Amino acid sequence: MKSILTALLTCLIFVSAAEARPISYPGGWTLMLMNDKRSNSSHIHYSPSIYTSIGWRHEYLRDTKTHVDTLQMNNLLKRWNKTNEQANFYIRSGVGVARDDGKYEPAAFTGIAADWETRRYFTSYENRFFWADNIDKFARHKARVGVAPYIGDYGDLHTWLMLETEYQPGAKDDFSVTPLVRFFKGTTMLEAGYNFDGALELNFIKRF
Amino acid sequence: MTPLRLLAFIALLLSPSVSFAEEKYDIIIKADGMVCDFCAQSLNKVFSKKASVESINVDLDTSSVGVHLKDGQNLTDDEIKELIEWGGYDLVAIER
Repeated sequence: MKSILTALLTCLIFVSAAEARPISYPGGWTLMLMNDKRSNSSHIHYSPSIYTSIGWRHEYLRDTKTHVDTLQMNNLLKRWNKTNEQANFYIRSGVGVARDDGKYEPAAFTGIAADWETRRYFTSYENRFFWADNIDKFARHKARVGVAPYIGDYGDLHTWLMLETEYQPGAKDDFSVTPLVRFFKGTTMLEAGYNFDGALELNFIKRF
Repeated sequence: MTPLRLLAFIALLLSPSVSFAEEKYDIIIKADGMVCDFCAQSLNKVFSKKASVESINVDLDTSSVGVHLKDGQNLTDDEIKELIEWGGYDLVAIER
């Protein structure tokens, strides 16, 4: 257990947001489809500025078989731009309704996301604190490290090899590790991974 | 051919045929923070909203944006600064 915690803390120190940049350019729309061993979600948002995006998120939580619909707001709290690197710090929150077996409860979540990247290396950390009264409550932490096997230029097909760790205290299989490969070209991103426990992770992002 | 070489080969095939250095631009803009192609696509979106802009190209190697203007059109330094910031970056220099 100690070695697992050490590995987790190491990842937390070096950790990017799975949702690469949860805010787009002013006037931009983004569609995000995320699927992992715990949930399936679709999230579409609009960015009125580079500091904020607002949108609708639908999520299906597998453990409790709960459907959650929320109005989600993402805020960029700080960005650091350097010559060959960039780092971001976001807060993401949502309020809405959870539905479980015909029962409706108010639902809300909040969490931070931080990332640092160069053209070769990528690290991120995000957490999420979810509450749906009598249906479900959880805290989840995710961290990633990534490396680009080659450096692509603007408009090329880009490839990243990533390792994601997830920790959800109190959940069945509370700690998991997922190797992923991320591809993006232009405004389209696709990533796929296979959890060490045998679960598929498949994410898709499109900016408009 | 190893998988990594194959990926690099595919990327090369899909890359633009004319390099950034070979092109002549009306304006070249240097900015900090340009490390991610997926994010830098926002520059194309925000610049293309300006009626005076014909097209742009981005060079991540030199953190530069090359701008082609329409005939007789101009972009002020203040407009350029605003567009770069809308793209999520910090303006460093403008060369005309």
